[in-house]
Amino acid sequence: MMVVALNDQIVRLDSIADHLGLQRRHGEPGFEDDAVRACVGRLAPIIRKANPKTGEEIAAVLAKHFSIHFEEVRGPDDIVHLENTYLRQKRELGFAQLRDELEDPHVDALLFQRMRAQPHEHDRWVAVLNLQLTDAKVYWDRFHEITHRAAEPEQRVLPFRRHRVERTNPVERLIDQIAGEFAFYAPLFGPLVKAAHKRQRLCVATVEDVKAAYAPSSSLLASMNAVGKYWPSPAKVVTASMRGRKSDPTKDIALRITMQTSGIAGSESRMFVIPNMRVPMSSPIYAAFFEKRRSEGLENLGDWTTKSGKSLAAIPVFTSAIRLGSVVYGVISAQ
Amino acid sequence: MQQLASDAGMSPGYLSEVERGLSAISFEKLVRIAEELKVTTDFLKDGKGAPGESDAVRIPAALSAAAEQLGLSHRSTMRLLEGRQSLVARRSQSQETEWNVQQWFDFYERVKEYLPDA
Repeated sequence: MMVVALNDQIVRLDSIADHLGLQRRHGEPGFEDDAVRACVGRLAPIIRKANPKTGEEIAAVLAKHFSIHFEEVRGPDDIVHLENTYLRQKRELGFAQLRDELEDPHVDALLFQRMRAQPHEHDRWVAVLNLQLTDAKVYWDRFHEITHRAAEPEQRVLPFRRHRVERTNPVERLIDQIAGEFAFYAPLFGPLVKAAHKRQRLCVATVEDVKAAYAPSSSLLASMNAVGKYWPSPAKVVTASMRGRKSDPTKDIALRITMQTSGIAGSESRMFVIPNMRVPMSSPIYAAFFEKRRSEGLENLGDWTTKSGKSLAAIPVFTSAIRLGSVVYGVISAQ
Repeated sequence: MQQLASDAGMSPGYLSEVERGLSAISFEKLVRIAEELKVTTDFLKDGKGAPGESDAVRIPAALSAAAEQLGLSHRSTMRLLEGRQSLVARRSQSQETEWNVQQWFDFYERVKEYLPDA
C-alpha cells in the first residue's frame, strides 16, 4: 500500500515537473526551488496585470484566473446550502459526498471539479473549506487550493485523485512551499515589511499591523513567519509550549522552544536558537506563557542555557511574545 | 481467446459470441475482460481509451459489482464514478480508503434521481 501511495506521489510530482516545464525531477537537488520559481514566474504577469494591493486581493485574482470558487462551511446550515446549490440545482453528484466528508473533523478542505460547468463559468472548481472547528487556516487554505490548480495539470477525465495528504506527503509539502510564495507575495509584502521596519521594532503589534494591512484573514503565526522572513535585520520566529526532552518526551517537562522561521537577513548573524531548548525565566516568552499576557522586552540570548551548561551566543535581542491557547508565539530580533 | 476466457472466468464459446455481437454481456463481465486485457471498458466497446492513453478510466471493482446488482446502465455507472471522482482533492490528516460495494449503494441512493436511469 505504501509503495502504491509513493508511486502515486511520484507520478504527480513528475506531472508537476512537466506542467511547469522543469528540467529536474523529484529527488534531484533544487527541484523544489525550481518548481517555486517556475510557478511564481508563470503567475507573476497575471498578478502584476491585476495590480492587487493585498494578499486577499491576490487570492481573489488567482482564484478567478483558475476558476476556483471558495465556499466556507462553519456549521450544518452551510452544508445544507451547498447541497441545495450544487447537488440539487447544478446536478453535481460529487456534492452528495459533502456531508459524510465534513463529519470527519480531520478534513480541512475538499476540492470539487464541477462536471457540468461550462468553460466560461467562474466556479468550475469549488473549494470547500471546513471551518467548523477553526478558521485560523482559512487564508492559507485558499492559497493551498489555488496552488494545486496552478502547479498541477488540469485533469481531463480525473485519472487520479489527491487524497493522501499527511504532512509527509511530498506533493503537499511542495504545494505548501509554493503557496507560501503567493500568500505573502514578495513584491508586495516585502516593501510593506520594510516600511514597518523603518517605523517600529519587531514585536507582536508590528506583526498585527502588517497582517491587518495585507492579509486580515491570515493566522497570526503565518503572518509572524512571513514578517520574520522578510524583516530586514536578523530575526527569528519561535513558538514555545510545555513538553519534555526530545529523546524522552515524558522527562524534564518545561517550557521549550520550537524554531519556526529564521529571517533572510539572519543568515550571517550569530543569533542561533537550539531546538527544544528550555526558555529561561528571564525571557519575555516565559512571562507571556506563565502570566498569560503579552510580554516584551530586552533580553540577552546568553541567558539561554542548556542542561549541560552551554549557553547561546551573548547577543542582546528584543523579544516580543503572546500566548494563544497553550502556545506562546514570539519574535526575537537583534538590537 | 481460451486463455482470456479462462482468466475472466467465462467460457470461450460465450466470449466468442460476445465478440461477434451474438450475445449480450453484463457490465460486470465487461469490466472483468477489460481488467484482464488491461484496457478500458470504453476501448472494448468502441475503441476509445486505448492502453496508454492518459484519459483511460478504470471502473473500481466495487462499483461494477454495485452497478451489476442495481442493474445500472453503463451511462449511469459512469455518472456515479464521475460524481465520486469529481471530488479531486481531500485535505485531511486521515487516510481515505477505497469505497466498498455498500458505500457505492449509499452514494447511489443519494444521487439516483439525477442519473440517466432515473
